[in-house]
Amino acid sequence: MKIKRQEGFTMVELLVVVGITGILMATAVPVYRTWQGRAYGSEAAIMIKQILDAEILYYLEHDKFYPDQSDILILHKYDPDHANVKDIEEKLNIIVPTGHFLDYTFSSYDDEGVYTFQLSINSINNQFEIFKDVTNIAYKMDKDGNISTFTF
Amino acid sequence: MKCKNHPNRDATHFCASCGIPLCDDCVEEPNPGQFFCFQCAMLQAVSGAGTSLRSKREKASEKELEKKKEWGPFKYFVVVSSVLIAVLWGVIIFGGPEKAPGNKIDFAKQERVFLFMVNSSIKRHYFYEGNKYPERLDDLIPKYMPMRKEDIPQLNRLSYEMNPKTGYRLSLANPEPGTMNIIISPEGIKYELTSQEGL
Repeated sequence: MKIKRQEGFTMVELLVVVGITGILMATAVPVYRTWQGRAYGSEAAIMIKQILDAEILYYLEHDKFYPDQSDILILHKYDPDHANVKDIEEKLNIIVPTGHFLDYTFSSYDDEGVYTFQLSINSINNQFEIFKDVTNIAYKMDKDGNISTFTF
Repeated sequence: MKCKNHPNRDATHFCASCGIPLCDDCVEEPNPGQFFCFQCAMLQAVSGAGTSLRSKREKASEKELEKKKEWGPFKYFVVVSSVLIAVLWGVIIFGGPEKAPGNKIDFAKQERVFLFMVNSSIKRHYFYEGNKYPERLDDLIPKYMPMRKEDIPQLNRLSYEMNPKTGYRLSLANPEPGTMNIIISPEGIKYELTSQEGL
């Protein structure tokens, strides 16, 4: 018996295809944001460890944090040849990855008699969470390497 | 007419296939109203079995074709898309940012930490807004320093003013008497001893 093959799609099938494609596209945006947020967290975790370790080593060598009684910014828009990036890489002997997502502020100051280093981290325009419900985070470290973390 | 097999008996039926006369004892009725001799009935039964097997095979192949038709490109698209959507929503629900280390800042106890976090936001404002410092600290919210509504009054702990010479001056608004206040400007960090009555 000759079987008649199905040719083309019905209107309902086409509508379902269009609907599913729309749902997929609408889902892709929050997925992208979710993964971007997770990438921020991963970058922050790696950079924080690298920077705090480097600051402790710098303190042991120079008896002061870098920058001493001042602050310096590493913005995500800075290219690898920017003076601040070069300065940080040279002084702390770390590598600031190109295409990094976050803004970092290095500060050292006297906190009521305790010489303190503070690293403040922000995501680009604070549009994305670095960690869950957090867009501002700061790490405070004293010369003994005691670290406190603050968010708001 | 006499039966072909029993010449002394009268024939009551004729075989529907070979046409021989048959008595009541010789006639076979495989289906109601169909009368055959024994040989023809056997042949019919064997032939019928063949037909039945063939029809079963045909039916099975038709079912297979139906099944293939049913699982055509459209159905595959629906299933694959559904799985993809489920996976993507799994990513959204379970793959978000990790829990932050540390706790929410205690603004009263950690005024200096807050001061430097705000200073970082002022400098970022300067960079992103075309070398322009904010006129008030409120201008930093929410783009450069998102804060919960209930935390916004905490900005009153800080004193901020634009300075045409140096750019800006940021310090603690009410430092504890007798402690060192921190004054931040683009030129650097300075310390100032607060009098017993306050700064």
